[in-house]
Amino acid sequence: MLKKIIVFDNNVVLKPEDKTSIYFDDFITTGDNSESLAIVNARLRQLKFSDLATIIYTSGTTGEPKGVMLTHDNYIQAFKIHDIRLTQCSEKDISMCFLPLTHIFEKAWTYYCFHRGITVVVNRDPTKIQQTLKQIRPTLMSNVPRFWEKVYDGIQQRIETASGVTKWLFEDCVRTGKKHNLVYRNQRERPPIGLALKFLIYKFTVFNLIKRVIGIDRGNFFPVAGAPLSDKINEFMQSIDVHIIYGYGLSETTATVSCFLEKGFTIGTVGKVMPEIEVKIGENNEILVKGKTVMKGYYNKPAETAAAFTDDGFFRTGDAGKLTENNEIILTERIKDLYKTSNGKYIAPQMIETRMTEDKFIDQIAVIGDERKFVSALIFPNFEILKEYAREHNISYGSVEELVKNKDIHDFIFGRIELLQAQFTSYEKIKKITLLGHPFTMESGELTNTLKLRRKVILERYADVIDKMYVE
Amino acid sequence: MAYYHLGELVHNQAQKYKSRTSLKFLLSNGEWTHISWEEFSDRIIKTAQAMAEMQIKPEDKIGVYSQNMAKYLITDFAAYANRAIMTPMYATSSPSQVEYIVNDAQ
Repeated sequence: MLKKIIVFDNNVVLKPEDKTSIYFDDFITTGDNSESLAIVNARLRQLKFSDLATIIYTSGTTGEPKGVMLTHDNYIQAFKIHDIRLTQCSEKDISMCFLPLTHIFEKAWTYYCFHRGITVVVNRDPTKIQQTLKQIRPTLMSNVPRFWEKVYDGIQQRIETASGVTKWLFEDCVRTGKKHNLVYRNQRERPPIGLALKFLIYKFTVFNLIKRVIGIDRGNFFPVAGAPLSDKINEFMQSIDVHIIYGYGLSETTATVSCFLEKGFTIGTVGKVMPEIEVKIGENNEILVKGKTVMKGYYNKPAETAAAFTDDGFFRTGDAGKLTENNEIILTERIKDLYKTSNGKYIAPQMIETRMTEDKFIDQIAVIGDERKFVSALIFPNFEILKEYAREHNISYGSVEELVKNKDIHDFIFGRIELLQAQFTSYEKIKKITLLGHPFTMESGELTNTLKLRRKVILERYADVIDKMYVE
Repeated sequence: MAYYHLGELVHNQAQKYKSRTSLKFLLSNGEWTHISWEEFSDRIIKTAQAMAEMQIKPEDKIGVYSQNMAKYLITDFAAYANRAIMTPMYATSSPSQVEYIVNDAQ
């Protein structure tokens, strides 16, 4: 039963008849006596590693939420394996706490920072992150791929509008950085002196300038997980000397199952399986995990808990993948997430969507195609730069809803998509698109709290628009 | 490296790092402020005492429905000091999602 509500925000107005609520600032003065201190001290002496620490509800894209039970021992084990893997951070680091602390990725990462004595900076309003980054200039920050997609798009936009010489110089920077970081540094080899010098010059000029604009010029490394990150964007970031540590994890495994090594990672994978964690591939390519970071079970759901483990005690992640010879994980699309076109061809929607987000004009995309004749897509464009494009090309419009219905705009975006999918096999190619004037949001239920598409909701809500794309 | 139960983690770090900065956050007037490891530890203990005063017991569940804030983290660690269980909810969760969690986590 809900006993009491403690209000963090002093700007919230409490009603006089409300006897359940109290401000946090008032609340913390209520226990200022020796008895409560004695109780807390007694409890501190009785702490057990087996104590349950958190129940985190998984925001799956389907089904009823399940409460993942993690003990203090689960968190401690996670600290241990990260200490082995992340030798490149220290108490000198400053970490930006940006993702919701409800998300296991941010929660476990922030606790890990406390364990390492790292200063944590709390970003309260997610929409203010650009400003916060410039003020704080953190050395560490966990994030989902969407953040880096935006950064990538922003840099691309600057380059495309730059003069010929600047463009040439920048391309040379990226080539140099790629060779230095991804060929030599990543293979732990010493680069030729000419390359090393050129790289150093770029590092302290061009790369530093780009990073300073974003506020990541003091960056040590940046963990990324939670959704697929485009290989192209990952490679680009590594090339401009932004050390992305790409990884894979779940609430049920106290976050990280695998992540990039500082040196010796492979683009295209989600990194090497963490120390002391065992991963194998089960039926339907399912990734199975065993280790001391795996949860005790789902709260009050014994049947679901039993179903989540194999007979030999591996946790079934529900994700699909492959293991490389080097014990790195390559994520693949789950069979149940694949679309089967009415011609019997299988399509991997997430793979297509991840590729399309490389384009700076595409902010959000939902690929359609299950039981349809061909693949189509709903696209929410990046209006900031689309409006700029419309202005430059003298395309007049009243509202954004009018702009997305403009044929020239439609053809322009579709042209960019065709370039991106040039290498796709023909049945994977997007044949039709509809541009949307408003984004998919969490409030509307179209996105989960971790920004994943709720495909069922989108299919229902946009049924008319989708059907129109399939009219003969 | 030493490994601690989350209930004592910050307090042990406070003995080691003392006046070094542990947390930085925005005040409601838009100014940045920071607290030391010792202050972080103090605020956690005060909050833990208030929880004990309101009869929170080990294994009780404490939900947090908030954006990222220093108070969020202080509440987390105060719960752990009481051997209570944290149940976080997204600030973007709908009332029905919150209702589900509040009812399920009894």
